[in-house]
Amino acid sequence: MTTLKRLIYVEDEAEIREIASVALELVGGYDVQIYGSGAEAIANAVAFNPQFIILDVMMPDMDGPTTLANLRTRPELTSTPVVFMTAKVQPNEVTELLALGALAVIAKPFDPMTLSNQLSDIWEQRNV
Amino acid sequence: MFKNTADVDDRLQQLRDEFVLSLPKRFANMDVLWATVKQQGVTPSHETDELYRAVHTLAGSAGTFGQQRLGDLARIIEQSLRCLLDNNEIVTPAILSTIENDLLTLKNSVLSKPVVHQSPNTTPTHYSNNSNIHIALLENDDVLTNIIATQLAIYGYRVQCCSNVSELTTVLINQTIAALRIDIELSDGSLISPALADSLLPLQQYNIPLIFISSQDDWDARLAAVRIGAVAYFKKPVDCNVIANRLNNFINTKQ
Repeated sequence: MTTLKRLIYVEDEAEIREIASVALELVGGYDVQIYGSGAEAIANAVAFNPQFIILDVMMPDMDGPTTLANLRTRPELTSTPVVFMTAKVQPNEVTELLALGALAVIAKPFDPMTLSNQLSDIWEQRNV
Repeated sequence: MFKNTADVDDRLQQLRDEFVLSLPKRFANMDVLWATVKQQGVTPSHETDELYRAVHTLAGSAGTFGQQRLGDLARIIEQSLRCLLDNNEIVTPAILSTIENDLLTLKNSVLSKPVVHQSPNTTPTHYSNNSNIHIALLENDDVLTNIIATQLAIYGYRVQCCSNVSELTTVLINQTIAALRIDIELSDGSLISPALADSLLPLQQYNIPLIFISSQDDWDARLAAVRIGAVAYFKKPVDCNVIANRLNNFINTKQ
């Protein structure tokens, strides 16, 4: 099984980007690019060749689902596994996000010390 | 894969502190939005959307920064607003009052649960290269000044003690100072006085990290510190290990 190394995270909140960077890079040891908007992700993701995509849902200008739809138009990213990370975790909201093709929905707030383990579990179970 | 547990813990604590420092501005923004929403009614509008987004963001982020209760309260307000927007409910004075009270409770929840600094596993050997780094300390209590200077010296920092802003300004003009610690109960025993704040504002030109220490833990004190450029705010009593760690982070970042 391929080891997860490179992932991208799209998040509009600067504080969350900072703490996610600690959680994913320092704690998780991943090679991460974190973007502040969907547009930034669309412009840069292909060049980074991520194995995994994490998307915030509620963002100004372009929300997570729209960002995902745009990323999916890139041939290199059509099948890259995606998870949404959001505070919108009502059952119907989770169902809608999973219907977009996400592997999982991670609830915010997240624990910076365990986030990388959560992602690792999702990655390992994606084909089980 | 931990890079270094102490590094991670300290970085997380720094981010938690920065989050708390950002709260007065967020609350002030919510107050402005709420005043407009209350006046125009909870109907779809730019202000309602912005208020919803602000509480939604807080609901999703506060717990990550160790403020679970704040996040839970923000979620209650988020759900109240969502219900009103989705169901087109008639907004009664009682509903407005409930949301207003929830917003007030939200602000007070941080007071009742301040971020607690954990003792780091730090040893002075981490700071052996600090001998040329000068820290200015504005504090008018000689005994406390000596204690702090002695403790920071253990970590290799040279402390320039100043008992008033005039002395501090002279030090800043004549020496390269890496960071500045200010005890904000200099004169009147409580908050930064307007006069003191005015006199400290020009210090921003030196682009030196400002760290405040106070026995006060209310929003007025924190907001006053933020307004004059605080990068960290500690409630007394403080652990000098924590201060030294924080100084190290700020100075390394700056370099």
